[in-house]
Amino acid sequence: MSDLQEIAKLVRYYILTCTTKAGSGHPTSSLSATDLMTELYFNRLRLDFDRIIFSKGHASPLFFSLYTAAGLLPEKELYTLRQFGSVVEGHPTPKFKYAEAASGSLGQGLSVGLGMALNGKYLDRLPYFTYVLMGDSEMAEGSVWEAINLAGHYKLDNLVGIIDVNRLGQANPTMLGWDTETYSKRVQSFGWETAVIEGHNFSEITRAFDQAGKVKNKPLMIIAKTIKGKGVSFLEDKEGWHGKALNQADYQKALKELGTINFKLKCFIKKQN
Amino acid sequence: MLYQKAELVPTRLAYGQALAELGTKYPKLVALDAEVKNSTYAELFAKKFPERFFEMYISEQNMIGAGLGLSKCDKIPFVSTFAAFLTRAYDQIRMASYSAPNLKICGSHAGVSIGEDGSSQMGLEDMAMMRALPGSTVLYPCDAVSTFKLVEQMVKHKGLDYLRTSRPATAVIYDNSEEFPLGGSKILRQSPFDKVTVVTAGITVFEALKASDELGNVRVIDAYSVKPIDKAGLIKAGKATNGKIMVVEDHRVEGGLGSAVLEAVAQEGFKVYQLGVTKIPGSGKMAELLKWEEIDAEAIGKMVKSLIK
Repeated sequence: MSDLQEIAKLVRYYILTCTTKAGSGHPTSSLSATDLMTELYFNRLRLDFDRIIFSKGHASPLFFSLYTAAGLLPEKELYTLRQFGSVVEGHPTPKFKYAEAASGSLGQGLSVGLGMALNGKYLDRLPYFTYVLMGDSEMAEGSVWEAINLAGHYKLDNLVGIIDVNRLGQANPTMLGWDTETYSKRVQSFGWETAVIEGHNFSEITRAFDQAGKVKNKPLMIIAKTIKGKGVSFLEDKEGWHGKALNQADYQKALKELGTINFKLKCFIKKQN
Repeated sequence: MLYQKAELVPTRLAYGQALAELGTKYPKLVALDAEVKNSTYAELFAKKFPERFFEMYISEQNMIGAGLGLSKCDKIPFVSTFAAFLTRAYDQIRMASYSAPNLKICGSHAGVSIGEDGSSQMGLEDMAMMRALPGSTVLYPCDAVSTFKLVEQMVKHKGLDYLRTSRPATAVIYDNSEEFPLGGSKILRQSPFDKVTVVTAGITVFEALKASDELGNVRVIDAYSVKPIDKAGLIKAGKATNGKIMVVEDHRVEGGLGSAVLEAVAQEGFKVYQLGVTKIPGSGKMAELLKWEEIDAEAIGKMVKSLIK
């Protein structure tokens, strides 16, 4: 098992544990994007340099767990998730120092990322990347397409969108399901480069992120086919599990499936060189 | 920028002039507009600082988000469009208010005073919308001097700030040396014999002045800072005028300046009377529309008379 896979397992452990302790939250929407974000955080992101927006704010258990894995959020604090007064809230807000904008009202993160990318390319002229994680359900929001349109127009090759295509929304399957090719065609038509991948295959994920900035004047959209609840067999691709935490019995079952977790893993987010 | 007294300058033009002039002094100032920059006058900044202006085309929701993103990169973004069209970006503005923003929003073409273009273009709910957000500032200047000064206040102030501008040209009434602190107000007419205080802002300041000059003994306050509102000033004026306050605004009566005044003086036992937009407006000349909505000098005079008889 590669280091990234080991880290992803640790992150999944934190996601399940913090939501079960909280008694609510969105573990399954977090698990689908875990491998994508593990690659991003532990193989790409330069701390306090690159920008990251979780447009799918309900994946906050994943968001916070990544910082716990990186040693930037003590485990004890992670387990105050959703409690009154905690900086780790149900959806991220800037009370948590690494959340730059509040998210959770879907379809807005890419616009915020657009502003950051405009700054990087045209104002400060700094070589940082802006990454925006989106859910596939929020692709139904018109504002996402406004941002896609403008990012293409402004040729923002420093902007990387990631669509976590886990097929399932809150109440229903999405309109496109796992039809990642259709997402790709639509996004490409706005002047973007796209990478259609299997979102749990690390070599594909790595290759996709490698494309960032490679095509001049085009933003990159990584369109990743994922499985909601990935890593826990009885949650995987199941309807009826959106926004639900596991009870103790299910949590113990899930931990057994994850297997041995290496808590001594050395993982950290790079600083800018 | 220096203005002459009585010179006719739309506040939206003064907004653009302020951005263009302040852009030199404040290099972090950037501007975005939703493809109406020749109406909001953001184009004056765009022409002078093309590298610091971003045309967002007609995507208001996206413009607010992008503005927030720029503010997170230590810029001071001014985003502008018609006040009416900001309503469709309210969710983005609401989320910005939870994001520790330093975002400056200008809504132009406020009120029925825009005239001929009709109801779809009239911002009539914008102050209610912006006032309701945590930590927001809402400013509504009536002339070029106050607009210019308030834009600079917005540059210096850190937060979510909203400026409401008007389409028609209005007369400059303030000296260029006048200061406009956030939370302040200006007494434009007063005498020891005042029987009622008329609190107003923006385009209807001129209607209130006309009514006051015709009737006499009517105190007129320009409440250019709608939020925070000058509570102490309002209470003082109310006490001086038998606890009678009239509010006049080119905005719906729900949630705007009238509501702000009512909230500020509610504990004082004053009687507060509101004139604002209550009907569905349409096309027409500004004077016809102010008359139709009963927010012109004639309607103000009529109400004042009924209050002091």
